[in-house]
Formats: sequence, structure tokens, C-alpha cells
Amino acid sequence: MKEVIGQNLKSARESAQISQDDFAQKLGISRATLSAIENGHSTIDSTKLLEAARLLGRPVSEFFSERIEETALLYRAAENTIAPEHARKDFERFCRAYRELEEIVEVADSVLPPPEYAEPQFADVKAFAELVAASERQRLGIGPLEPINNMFKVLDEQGVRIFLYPLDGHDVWGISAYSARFGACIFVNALTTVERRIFSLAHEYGHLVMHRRMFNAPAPKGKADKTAELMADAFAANFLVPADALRTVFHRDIGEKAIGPEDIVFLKRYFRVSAKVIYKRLLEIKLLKENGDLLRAVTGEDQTKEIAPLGDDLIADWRRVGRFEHLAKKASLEEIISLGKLAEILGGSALETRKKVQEWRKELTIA
Amino acid sequence: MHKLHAAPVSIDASVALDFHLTNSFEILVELFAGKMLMSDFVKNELPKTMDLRETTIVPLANTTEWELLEKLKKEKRGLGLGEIGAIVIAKTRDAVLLTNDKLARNAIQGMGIEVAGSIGVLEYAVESGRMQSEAAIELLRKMILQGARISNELVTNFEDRLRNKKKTEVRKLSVQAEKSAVVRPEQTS
Repeated sequence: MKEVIGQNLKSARESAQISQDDFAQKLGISRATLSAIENGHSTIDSTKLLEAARLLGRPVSEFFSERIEETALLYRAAENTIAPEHARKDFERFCRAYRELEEIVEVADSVLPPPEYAEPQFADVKAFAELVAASERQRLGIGPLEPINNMFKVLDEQGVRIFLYPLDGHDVWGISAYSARFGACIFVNALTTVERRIFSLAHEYGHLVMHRRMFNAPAPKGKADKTAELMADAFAANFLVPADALRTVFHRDIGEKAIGPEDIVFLKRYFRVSAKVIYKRLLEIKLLKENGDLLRAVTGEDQTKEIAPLGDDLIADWRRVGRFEHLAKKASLEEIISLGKLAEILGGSALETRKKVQEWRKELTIA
Repeated sequence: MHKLHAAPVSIDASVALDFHLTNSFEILVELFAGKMLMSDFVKNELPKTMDLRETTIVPLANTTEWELLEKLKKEKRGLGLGEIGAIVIAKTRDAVLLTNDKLARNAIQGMGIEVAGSIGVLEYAVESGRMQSEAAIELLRKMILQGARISNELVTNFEDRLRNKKKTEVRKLSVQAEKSAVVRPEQTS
């Protein structure tokens, strides 16, 4: 235990870029004592450990987690966007808590991770992404012409760990990570439009099924792999808006006589994507020619806004049947875990968690 | 003698919050002044503004305590650091564990630790004359409204016990009163 705590303490201190001298001073101990603690030679007392957790902005339970190789979250070596470390730490904490919850409830490994599609041997990577998207839809039992009503639910049911996190001030929409123990994990920035969140989820899922071998770095690096991004975008577009489905709806409900903003809004609501994605898909499958006026009318200048936006009810619908929340409720209401453990897993205080459990209990009352 | 009478107590977040959220932490202070121990892992779970007067915050400092914590953490995965901290303190300081948590209660079986929950504390408060039965019943109801997890069966049993006790006391008092009424004329004559 002291070795694990020591290692975690050292790693957290180094991540926070605090020198051993400074940290020892803040803790009110000598540098030699801190060194002995970090090297697992001495036991820290719990007051100092709690103080260290507070100084480093980490929950104290994190210092007890053994970091074995198979639990490490691996990122794509060439990630196009880099989330700040605190967000990645929270992401990792969520994946770890999710797995722990599964183990406590005894449903760990009940869902196989998503398959890995071999690297394309042909030059047209977009065509490969389209094939993978069609194959995944089929594997998941989604008909070729069906819109995906709730992308979050679809992936959640596949055991993908989806972490919605409000990340302000960073141009990060989504991140994917993989670990032998946690499986497929996707971080989605909650401070974007619902349409963007859905597309980011599909995009990151595309990376996870097509670029699994690229998930080999303990931290993302800032060099974008343009081909991989192109493929993930193509996967997402084809997964969410298959060409045949778009053609069918287009011929059935729109026709080629005139295409206006109402048609785009109708299609974006039907497929639950952004107006821009619909516009691009219509161009790609040659149902529309470049039309700057139409594009401007349905997308506007501000990328953070969306015409006829999808409501957050989609997220709420998913949350109601979300796997993580269900396992947390089950574990708590059936008294498989204590209040304190639940608070650790949900990352809240005992008081907040107690209120949450009280609400959950009310849900089980017949009105 | 009641098990809560002499020994120190190691309180966990469930019981502390029951009393805190019903503005009755004072009862704990009155009952256990000078012998209420709280692991700092428990304190860490509680609101920072909580008044913890007469509560001794106990850090885990020695190897024995850490070893027990490690053992419980490995074997009882459903328990949080707070509950484990409270158990370790109860074990190493010969204290009665105060918890409502079913898992924590199960975890200490065979460890030689005495346990009581919020109900036990309220019963002790009545027994020791610090509370009236009806007030204790009322307070337990408030605790439940504030999210205390206590089964209906335990609540009913608690209410029955206190009401029966009250009836017995009233009966005793009236018997005493009758006796003294019979005796009094002889004494005055």
C-alpha cells in the first residue's frame, strides 16, 4: 500500500510540476521524508495524504489505485486535439470508476469490446470507412435505412464508456482512448451543440474500430494524422447518415424540384446530425450542387450555434437508461456499495451522494 | 450497562450526516463529549462547514492501521475510504463503530467491534434521560426525510420499543402513585 501511495503521490506531484522541495514545504515535512514516502520506504499519515490530495486537486481515493500497465488509458499517438491534463485525469478516473463498479456488481466483461477492422489495403480510405460504417451498423442491428435515434444509447449498450465533460476554453470536441482493462472509452465535450456531440461520438468510435493499433501512447501528442481524421469523419458521416438512407428519404419526402432550408432542417432532425453534415452528405452523394446561399442560410457564421437545434432531451433519455448510472443505482439501492464508496465513484461529496440516492429511492416508489 | 455508555465511539459519515442534517449534532456532543472519534477520511467526506465540536479527528498514522486499511480495502471493495477509516479507528481504539451502513456492519463481523447506528444512539439518548421517547421518534422521522437509510422494519421496532417502554414507565409511575396513595393515610394518622 505505501508503495502504491508513494508512486501515485510522486506521479501526481510531477504532473503538477511541483518540486519535491516545494511540496515537502507545503506539507510541512522534510524533503527527505517526502522522498522516503514517494519511494515507498515510509508510510504517510492520513492527514498529510489528505493535505497532499487537496494541494494537488485530486480525490484522495486516487492515491490508492494501483497503476498496472493494462489499466493505463492509451491514446492515439497522433491526436488532433489535446485536452488539458486535468480533463484527461477526470476521464481516466471515470473509466476506472466505471470498471470498478462493473466488478463490484459482477458484470465486468459482460460486453465484448467493439471489433477492430484491419487497416485498408486500398488507397481509398474513405471508401474503407464507409464499408466499416455499414458493417458496424449491421453488426449493431441497425437497418441500412434507419436513422440512429440516440447515438449515446447505441454505443453505451456496446459497453463503450462515454464521458460527457464540460470543457471550456479548449477546441476539443472529443477524445478516444483504449485500454485492455477498460475497453473503448470516449470523452465528449458537453459544451458543444448536441449535434456536434453526436458527431464527435461517432467520429471517435470510428477511430476506435479503425485505428486501434494507433492507441499506444500514454498521452496524446499534438501531431494530427490527417488520413486518420479523414477516415473517422467519413465513418461518422456514413454511420449516422448512410447514403442509401439519405437517398430514400430525399426521393420520398423532398424531391429534386427545389431544395430549401426547410428540407435541410427536416433531414437534420430525421438523422439527428447538424445542418452542415446534411449539406455535405447531399453534396457527396450528388443530390445537391454547391449552393452557397443555402449553406449560409442553414449554418450561419457561428459554429457554436445550430439551426433548429436538437434538444438535450436526447442526452437525458440516454442518461435514464445509461449503463453507468444504472450500475451505480443498482449497487447503491441493493446495498452492494456504501455511501462513501458511491461518493468516490461518482466523484461527489457524501452529502451530494446521499441526496442523489434519496432521489433514486423516490424513483422506485409507486406514485 | 449500555454499550455506548463507557467506550469511545468511531463515527462514520452516515450517522454524522443524520444528526447534522436534522440540526441535532448537539445530541452526539452531549452523549459522547470527549470520546467521539472520527477518522480524518470520514471528515474529508463531510461538508467543510460542519460543526465538529467535541470530535477528535484521528489520522491513520501507524503501520498496523494502514495494514488493516489495506486489508479491508482489498477484501471489502464496496466500502469507501471513510467507512474503512471508521472501522480501523474502532478496531485500534476499542471504540464502538457508529454506522448505518449495512456493508460496514457486515464487514466487521468477527472483528470484535461493537456497532450501533442512528437508532441505537437515539435509544441510548432516551435511556440516559437526555431525550423523551416521542422526541426521539420524531427525530428519527426527520432523519429519514433527510435521506437516512434505515429499514421500515427497524423504524417500526424502534417506535414500538420506545412506546412500550413509555407505557411501562407510565404504568410503573401509576402503580407507585397508587401505592403512595394507599400508604399516605396511614402515614398521616
